[in-house]
Amino acid sequence: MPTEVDSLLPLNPRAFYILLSLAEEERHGYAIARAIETITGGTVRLTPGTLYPLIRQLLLDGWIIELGEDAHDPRRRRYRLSALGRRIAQAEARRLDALVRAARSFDLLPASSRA
Amino acid sequence: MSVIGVLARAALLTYPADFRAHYRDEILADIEADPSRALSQLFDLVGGAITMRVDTIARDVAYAVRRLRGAPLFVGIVVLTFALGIGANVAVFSVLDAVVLKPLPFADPSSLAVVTSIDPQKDVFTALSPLDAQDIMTHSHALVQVAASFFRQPTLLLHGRPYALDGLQVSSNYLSLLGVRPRLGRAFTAADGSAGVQSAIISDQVWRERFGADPRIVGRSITLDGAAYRIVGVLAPGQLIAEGGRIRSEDVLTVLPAHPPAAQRGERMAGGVARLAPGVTLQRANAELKIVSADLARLYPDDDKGWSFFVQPLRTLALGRAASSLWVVFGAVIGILLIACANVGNMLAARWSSRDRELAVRRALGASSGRIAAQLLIETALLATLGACFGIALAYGALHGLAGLVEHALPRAGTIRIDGMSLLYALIVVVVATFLAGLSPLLSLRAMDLQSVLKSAGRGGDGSRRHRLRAVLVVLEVALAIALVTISGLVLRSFIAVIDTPLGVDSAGVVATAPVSLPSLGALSAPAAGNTSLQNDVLHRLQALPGVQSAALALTYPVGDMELESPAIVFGRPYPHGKPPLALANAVTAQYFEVFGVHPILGRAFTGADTANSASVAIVSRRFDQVYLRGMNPLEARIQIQTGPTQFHWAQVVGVVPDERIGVGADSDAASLLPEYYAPLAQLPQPFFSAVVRAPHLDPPIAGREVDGAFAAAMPLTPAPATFTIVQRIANDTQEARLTTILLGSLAAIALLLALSGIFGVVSFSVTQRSREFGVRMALGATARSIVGDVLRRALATTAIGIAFGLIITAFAARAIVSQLGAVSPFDPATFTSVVAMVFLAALLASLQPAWRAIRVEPAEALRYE
Repeated sequence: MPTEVDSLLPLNPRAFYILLSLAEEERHGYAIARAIETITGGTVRLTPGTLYPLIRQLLLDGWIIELGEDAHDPRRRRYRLSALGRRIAQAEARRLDALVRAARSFDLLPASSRA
Repeated sequence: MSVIGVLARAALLTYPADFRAHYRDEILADIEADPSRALSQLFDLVGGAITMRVDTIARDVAYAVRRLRGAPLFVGIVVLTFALGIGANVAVFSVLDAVVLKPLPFADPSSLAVVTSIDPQKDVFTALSPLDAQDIMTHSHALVQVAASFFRQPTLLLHGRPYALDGLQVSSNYLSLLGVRPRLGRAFTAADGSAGVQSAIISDQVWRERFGADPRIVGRSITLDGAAYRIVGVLAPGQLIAEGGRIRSEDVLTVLPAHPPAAQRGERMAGGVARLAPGVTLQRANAELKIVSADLARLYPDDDKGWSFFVQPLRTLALGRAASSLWVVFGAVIGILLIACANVGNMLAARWSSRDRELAVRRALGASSGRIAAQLLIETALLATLGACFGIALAYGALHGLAGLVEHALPRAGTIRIDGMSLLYALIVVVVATFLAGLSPLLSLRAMDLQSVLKSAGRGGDGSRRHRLRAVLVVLEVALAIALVTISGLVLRSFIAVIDTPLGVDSAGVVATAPVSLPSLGALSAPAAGNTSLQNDVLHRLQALPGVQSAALALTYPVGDMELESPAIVFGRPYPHGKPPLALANAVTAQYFEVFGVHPILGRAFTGADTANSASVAIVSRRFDQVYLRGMNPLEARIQIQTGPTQFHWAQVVGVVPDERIGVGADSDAASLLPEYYAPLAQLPQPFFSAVVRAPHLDPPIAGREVDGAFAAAMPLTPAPATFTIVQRIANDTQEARLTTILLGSLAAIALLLALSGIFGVVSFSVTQRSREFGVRMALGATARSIVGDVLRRALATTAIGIAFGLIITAFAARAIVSQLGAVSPFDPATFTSVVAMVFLAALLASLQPAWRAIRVEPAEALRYE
């Protein structure tokens, strides 16, 4: 059943990575960029010129929430996922999961890629 | 601070201020945290700013599109207003650019000048003699080159068929003086003017149409007016040539003799062009020419005494008149654009102030006033661009439709087109119009005080003084519209009256030709036997054509080219004051009256038996009978037929026919009212004649080709004359009146539509401003009818004031153009009442939608904010 959230999909991959990195725990901007680098094995790197405009947009759209200054570094602010942001990230993950399953059924991927 | 830090701070400046304020510290911290990738981070930073700005614009555009979709009427009226303002601008600019702004198509055109002779006693400028041109060149230092030209219309004989060409006979230095380089072959050289085979240069068009674009044309021999010429060059496509102060395209150029006979010194009939030496001013050239002419007067006192020369810039002579009127028209369309922008400004202000609360809330939530202004400007730019697209289409259509009509009205009209310059101009106009139209709503937004808007819900965002200004603008627009629509209505009526004036004959199914000149006709007096048989040959061929019921040759015919005024002398009737009265004379063959479906009122028509050797006869028009033969039996009268300056014979009147109208258009009044008499063509021979045939069941073009064929067969060495129906002929003769009517009509339509959009804008705005008041009144029990009545009353009161002013302007303007109105009264009541009714009705229509909006204000909604 398509929900209102589904109409926002597919997400900009970078936005999805930001949501992913915040799903685990609240982070500040620099930590988000680091986390994404780790998740993607260094293939996706968000520099300040791409990161902060996206963060601002996600804030304006209400997908993430600004929490205030970081305890260790007062220059930085921390962010966390909003309930809406979490639902959207989940919906995107489901969409991708369905895609991957479809790819398997057409033998584009091995049946099990756990290895 | 590190270098990286400085660069990063600089890169941050490319971001919007609010973003910068919020994220600067974090971004700087991030960059410092990762110094190894500082450079790529800096590039990304700038890239991010660009992306963000483009994104914002894209969002604003999408937002504007969404909002505009919901208001089709508003969009329609604004786009139409912009389309008119921008379209008129693009059209007029394209004409101005092609005719005036683009440099003349010659090398270094600013040093080109026109030389004329001047007779100080008469103070008259006349043409030059080619010998003078040569002498000026020899004696003058200020003019490095001087060249002369004559009009020449040679007949090109090709494969046994004659073609009429327009051309010039020019000095051999003519083209090199102008800097015109042929596309094939070469320009004339001094050797071309000397003895031997003569040289000719043909236009690209003649090269294509007559010689199949033969690439080996140069060197080929052609026959012009029976003499052999060798083609030495082909002009570039569309190449224009200056002839004196005119600029036009020519079919063929030939060379003047290098040494004109000395006897031609006094024949001042050539156009003269010259090139000024580098750095020489016109004043110096003219001063020098005074000395040269004094020298020539001493050398050739018989021909040159008292004469002098005068040089003027080619540009001034060729384009001056067109330039001054086009600049005026350009000023007018700028005015139209300003009015259009003011109207759109009103409509935008109405629309955006109705969003006062939404905007105030958004601003309170942090949207900067710059962002809101950007949104307003983007919406306006979107509308202006849309308007420009329609406007350019309108301009294209207008220029296309009027091309034939302006062809003879403007120099180099053939080069008018909507090109890159026109589109660049359109772009500039869109930008300017966006800011002009956005100005008024921007000011309203700025004046909007956040607190008061939130509190009082925008009851009085706009001062009443500004509102009065808007009303004054509308009054002026309505007045202008009334004046223009009425004037163009009057002109249209007089134009229709001219076209519809009865010719007095049945011209349906009649095809006529332009006048044909007889080859080598000697003295006008003696009816040359050869020409009579030639004319008979043409006539018989015409009469034998399939589908042709009757055919005749005539000196002239209704709406024909020729008018021969002749004394009207009746045998035995002395004329008063020693000077005979005038009549129109026409020389026709037997079937002339049959062709035009005219039956004699009295007596008979001409027959084949009325020849050069039979008794002299004449037929008179009814008016001739009434004016000159009053009190006598016309069939017993004899009138004098003048066959030459001193020769005449007396002709017996054998018939009276109804009046026919000869002239049309501007010259239709005086000449066409003259009494007319007819003589058989054989008894009153003419150097020119036209043919008229009645072929009611033939397509006019087919009939025209048949007539051409008959002429070609009878006169193979003469180009066949142009053929046309009488209706086409009237259309041709009234081209100027038609152009005036069309231009005035379009101006009037534009003025009317602008007045309407003005009324719509102002009424919309005032309804928006008073929506609270209307809500309250409705809540207090006012009926919808009383609210609508209130809105309409105010709108129509403004319109009525405009109409009153308009009528006053019209009264003055109509008196000024009374001479062009012919039979139509400048105060024609039908025109005046219908225009006033139309404008009133239109104003009513323009105010209906806003009035409807007024009664849809929810009383509860309105009161909530009280």
